Parts: sequence; structure tokens; C-alpha cells
Amino acid sequence: MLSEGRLLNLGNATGHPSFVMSNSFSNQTIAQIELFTKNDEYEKRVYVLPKHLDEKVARLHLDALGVKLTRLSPEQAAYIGVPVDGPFKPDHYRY
Amino acid sequence: MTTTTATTNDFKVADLSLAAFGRKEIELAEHEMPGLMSLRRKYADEQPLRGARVTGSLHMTIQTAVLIETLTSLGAEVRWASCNIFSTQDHAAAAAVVGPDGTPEDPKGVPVYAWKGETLEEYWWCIEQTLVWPDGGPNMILDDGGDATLLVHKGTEYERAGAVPDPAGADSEEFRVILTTLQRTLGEDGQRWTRIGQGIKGVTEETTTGVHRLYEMVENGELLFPAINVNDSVTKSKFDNLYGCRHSLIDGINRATDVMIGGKVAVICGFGDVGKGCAESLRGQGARVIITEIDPICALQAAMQGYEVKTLDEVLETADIFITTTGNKDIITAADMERMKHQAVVGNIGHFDN
Repeated sequence: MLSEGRLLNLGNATGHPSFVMSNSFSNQTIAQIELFTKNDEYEKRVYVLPKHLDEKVARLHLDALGVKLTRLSPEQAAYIGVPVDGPFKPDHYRY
Repeated sequence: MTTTTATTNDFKVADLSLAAFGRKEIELAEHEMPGLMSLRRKYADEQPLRGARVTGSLHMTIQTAVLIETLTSLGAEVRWASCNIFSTQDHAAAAAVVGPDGTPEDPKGVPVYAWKGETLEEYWWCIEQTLVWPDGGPNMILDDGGDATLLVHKGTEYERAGAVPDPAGADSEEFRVILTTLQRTLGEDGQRWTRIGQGIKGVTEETTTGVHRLYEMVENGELLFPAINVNDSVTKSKFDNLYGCRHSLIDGINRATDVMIGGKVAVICGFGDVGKGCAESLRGQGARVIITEIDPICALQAAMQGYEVKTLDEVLETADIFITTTGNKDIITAADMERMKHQAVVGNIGHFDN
């Protein structure tokens, strides 16, 4: 039994690699800024970050991997009913 | 850059002399964390977290040190503990305390209370230290698994009741320790957690398990402050839980056992995001992977991906590696383990240890 039953990737090794944690922790940082600076917009409930911030976190990681995004033409954007700059998916989309 | 200055006695880590090694690894990690580094650049002038007093409870690793220093570079003051007794990397904790500009003799980083191999008593003491600031309390929590949030809520609940339930009646060893901790604090100050709870503007939660606890608290009308569920950002759960586990599962198994994975029969309990990453990880090493699932949708996904889906009972005697990826208890019991082959490997990468 590894790590006495606790998280074996952190107990026996060094957990997740930096690159993937940069995604998680960018969300954490943006969420901290959001809750701290716009506190009066939030009630005592549980919220998820809006999709444009999720897309922003992903965007921040594309250059490092040499990813080149394709850009919708205004006609294409209108055809599928999304803004040219996103968000590109409805909230219920599951990826 | 703004950094919080730690007084020399306001921290507890294993060994400050590890700080230089930790700093080297932090610098390597910064290069691999472009999201955090670009947030530092973007908000350098604006300092949106100036005035934020963040209590963090999240695995004190090298990556977390980069997060901590991102928060401080945006203006926040920070106190930190790990959210798991074994997950701290002692060189990361030391480097966070010393900070980029300090020395082990003159630490200038943040107060960290974390070391690898804490007892449960030490663990909850560390969480307490990060919530009790020398001059008041936090106004933000950054949580992983919800333990810091839990302590504030349970403390507030028992202060309102004027009494803490008898620790002897606790249904787990961990809850016994929580109750003992709160019994002591109630004796010291009958309003401590109530005050701390009132001062908190909100919590951001990292994990599936912690988020589940938060939704339960909302349903029971108990949540004391707003919460942001970071776990269900697509760029978190579909990446960290999936690709993170794909990387770190076999890393953990290899470092612990160095047993050959190829050819072995591996059982993954659960085919959520974590289970999907684990299954790919082990299949990539040539293991023959079997999934157990309770959810017909996830079970069908597993089958369509080409995995066998069976019950644990069917495979206990024949499989070589068993990994639980759920947030539930009693997935693999001691009685199950008695039926396994000699030297079967059993590990957990889901949230809980029971």
C-alpha cells in the first residue's frame, strides 16, 4: 500500500508537473482577484468562473507550446452565433 | 515586488537550509508556468490583491510556491499550510519561507506551516496557524479539499452552540483531532472562529471533494461567505485531474516500487477525469487496464475506449495493481486486500485515505 493510502502521486513522487498546475493555479489567482475585488457582486453561494476567463487561462498557455489558433471570420462567427473573440461554447458544453 | 516579511519565529518547516535547492526548482518551474508568470506581468502595476490576507491550504510543493509568490507579487499577504500530511516538498516550503530576497538566517518570504510527514494533530495545528494571523485573521481562503473552510465553519458552529461534541464520539480519527483542536480553542477564546468567519470575503476551492462540501453547505444554509469553484473550470478539471494524473500516477508507482508496469493487470476504480488520466497512464506503459465504475455513462465511456469494465470482486485475485481514483470510502477494504496476490500494489490518487 503506497503512502498509507493517501495521494500516492504526492506522497511517493512530486505531484503534477508545473505546466498543468499553471492552468489550475491561474484559475485560482483569477478567482482570488475576482472575489476580492468584486466582493459585493457575490452572495453566499458557490460560483464557477465565467467561460471567457477559462478561455483566457487556456490562451495564456498556447504560446509556450507553439500553438497557432485559427481565427473565425466575422461571417463564420455569425453563422454559428458566437463572438469572434469567444466565448466559443455554451456553458453546458462538456469538452 | 511586494513580499510579506516573516518574523523569524512565525513559520514551521523541516529545514530552512533546503531553501537554495528549492529556489532553483522554483526558477525552473516558473519557466513551465506561463499562465502564472503572465498574470504577474499583467497585474504588476495594478496590484489587485493589495489588502488581501490570504490563508492558503494546498499541497506545499514547488508549483504551489510559484502560486504563493504570484499572489504576493499581486499585493497579497499570505500564510500557508499543506492540505495533506505527506505532500509537502520540504525544499519548496523552505524556499517559500526564505523568499527570493531572503536567506535562511534572515527569511523574507511568507509564513509557511508545512513539512512532509505530519501527524494528524500537527496537520490541524498547521491549518490553525495559517488562519490565526498575528494581527487578526485572513480575509480570503485559498483551499484544496476544504479543510481550512471546514475548520472555520465547524469552529463557528460550536461557538454558537457554546460547546464542542465529545471527541470520543467522533466517527473518524481525523474528526476526533478536529474536535480536540476546537475544544482547546473554545477554552481559549469563545469567539475566535466566529470573528475569523466574519472577516472572510470568500474562498476559492481547488478540488472536486472540496467543491462537493461547499455545495452541501449552501444546501444546508451554512456557507458563511461566497465561494468560487475553481475545480470546474474546464482548464482545471479537464487538465490537472486528467493530464496531471496521467503524468504523476506512474511517477508515484515507479518511485515507490520500481516494479515493471508493462504486462501487469491494473485495476482503476473510477473513470472520472482522474480515472481517465490514470487509465491512459498505465495503458501507455503497457499494462492491461480494467475499470470499475458505478456510473453507466462513465462505464460506457471506458468500454468505448477499449477498457474492460468489471467489478472489483471479479479481479481481486488476479490483478497486480489497484488504484482508487474516487472521493469515496470503502472502495478497497482490508478484507479485499487479503484476497489479493502477494505483493499486489495498492494506491490511492482520489481525495481521501479511507
